[in-house]
Amino acid sequence: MSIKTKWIIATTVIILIILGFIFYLNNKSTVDGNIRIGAIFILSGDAAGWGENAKKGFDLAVKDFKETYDIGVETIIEDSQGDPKTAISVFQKLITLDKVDGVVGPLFQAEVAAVASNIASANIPVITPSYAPIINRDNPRNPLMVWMDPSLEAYKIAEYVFDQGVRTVAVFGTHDSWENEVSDSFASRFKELGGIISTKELTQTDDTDVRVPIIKIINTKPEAVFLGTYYQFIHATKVLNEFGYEGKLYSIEVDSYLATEAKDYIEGLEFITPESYSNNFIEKFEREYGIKPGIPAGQAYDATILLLDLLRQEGPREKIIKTMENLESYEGVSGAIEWTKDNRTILPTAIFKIQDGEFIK
Amino acid sequence: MEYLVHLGILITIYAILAISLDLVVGYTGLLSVTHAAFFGVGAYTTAILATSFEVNFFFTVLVSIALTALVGLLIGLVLSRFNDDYFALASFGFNVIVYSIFLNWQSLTRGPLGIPGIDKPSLFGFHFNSNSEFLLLSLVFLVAIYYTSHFITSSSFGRVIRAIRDDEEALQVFGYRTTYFKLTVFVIGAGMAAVAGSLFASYITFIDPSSFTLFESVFILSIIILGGLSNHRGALLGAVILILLPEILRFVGFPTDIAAQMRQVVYGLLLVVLMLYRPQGLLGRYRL
Repeated sequence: MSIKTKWIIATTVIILIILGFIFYLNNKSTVDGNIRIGAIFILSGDAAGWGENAKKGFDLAVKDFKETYDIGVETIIEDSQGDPKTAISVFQKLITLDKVDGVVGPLFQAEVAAVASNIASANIPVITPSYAPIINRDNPRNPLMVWMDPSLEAYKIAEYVFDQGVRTVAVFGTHDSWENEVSDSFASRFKELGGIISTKELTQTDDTDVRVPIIKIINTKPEAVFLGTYYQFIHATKVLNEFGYEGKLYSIEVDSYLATEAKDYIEGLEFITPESYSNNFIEKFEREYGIKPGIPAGQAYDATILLLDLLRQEGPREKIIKTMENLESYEGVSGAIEWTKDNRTILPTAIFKIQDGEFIK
Repeated sequence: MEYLVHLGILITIYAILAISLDLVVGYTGLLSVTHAAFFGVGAYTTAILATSFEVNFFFTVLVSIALTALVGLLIGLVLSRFNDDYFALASFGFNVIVYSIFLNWQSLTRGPLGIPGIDKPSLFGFHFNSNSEFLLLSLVFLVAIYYTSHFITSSSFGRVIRAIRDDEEALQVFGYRTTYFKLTVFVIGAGMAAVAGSLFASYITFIDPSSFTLFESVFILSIIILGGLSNHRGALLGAVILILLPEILRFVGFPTDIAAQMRQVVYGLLLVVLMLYRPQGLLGRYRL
């Protein structure tokens, strides 16, 4: 086959693909009366577990909404792989080809920041079970966050730790944007109160060996260690235990998975977390999937129900977005969500202690 | 159509990266895994100049090229001491170093929080705000890079770098200072990658270190291997295929519960089949 023939075949294939897209675009239509929503979750890669939990919460919310209101809901769920440019591709597909009425997601801070300017120009309501700093959002209320502002949470645990009489803390976190912000906020608040941060060690989220930073922490002889990490929680607690660390441990948003995997190393650990999901939701989730809901299933559920409720009001998009901008509170399965005038998301939190593998409030 | 235009923009950006890397890998035979670092330096230069100093995009591109070329020179001076596998390994290390700098130099780059609010380009009062306008701009840059690269590879310089790839020792016997030529092409490749970085930063309007990891370097390398080494049209074709393929798979009707995973499997299988059928790449003239 000559080069010219190959080029003709390749060009023909590409033109056919483009025509296929255009055909798909022109024939995508919604059944009258149905609401169509899209979801951008991480369904492959390192954070797929997180995305799968979100998807379960999303699917359950759609099911509940349909049963409550007898309104048809079409859903299109796309995988962003945790990559910002893929998140933009997926968002563009949802709004231009699938012509969704609203979007739930994305899940990572970097994805939210990348999609933010596209959300502003598309003028479509987006609610996300995630967090991104306000500076990374063109409109601080669209996307609307249903995830607790991590710096506020970190301030609270810092105040709690200081109130316990602890004066020297070492901080361990990772370079993940959320964890970095948590670690920084804890350290700055603890220092403001008059405490001492003996050291702050940040690792990569995928490091398999955390012995060096842990040794550094132990060498500073802190009274307590604050673990501002989900990614490295298990590694860090294991290594702290291996090196005979006997001081206090504090952390943030420890879930049942972490508690189970690290159960031999975290007796007595205290952590702050938004109040657990409502019992009704937990029971419903277990009936549906046979397992307890993991983070962020509840947040995804709330984001979805809130979005569907707003879309059910059938106003023009501008009105829905205006409603989102003026929203002050919402009673969700993840708690009583409040949005402050300076656009921070607050949920009631509680301090839990791990004893014999159980979470004690 | 915005979706297709968006994909078109990504294709042009990655085509620029592929063409620039092909100069180093395909034409000179230097297996470099540092390209995402140069991509990132270009992007961060534009982002910082645009957000902190409100510098016009086109001027930031010039500064990005200069700065990234300088970084390429420094890295190239070290890498020039290595050959073959050691070169690849060392370039791997440099990618990791540069990524760590993006992540840890928080006062400059904001670390994992990234830099948001990067303006779209404007020129003499005309703003490239829509995706279609941005696509046209990026196509202009792509054409410029393509023809610059074509000029380089068609020249006597191009003949020398191909000779280095084929038999460096023989060339040294004839008195050629091959280190100089390798360093030059490495710096040129870095400078071109910076253009892609500037376009990327301005288009996405937000950058963070996660876009410039080692995985990204491997992805760019995959583009030129798939498209075919030592062939600019191969680099273009590789970019088209690797950007469009995952998107096309979204339209294949897998069950929702396993769609994401199946797409990854099919994507991987297609790449394996393509390489089995054409190990030199679709339009390649040279194998690594």
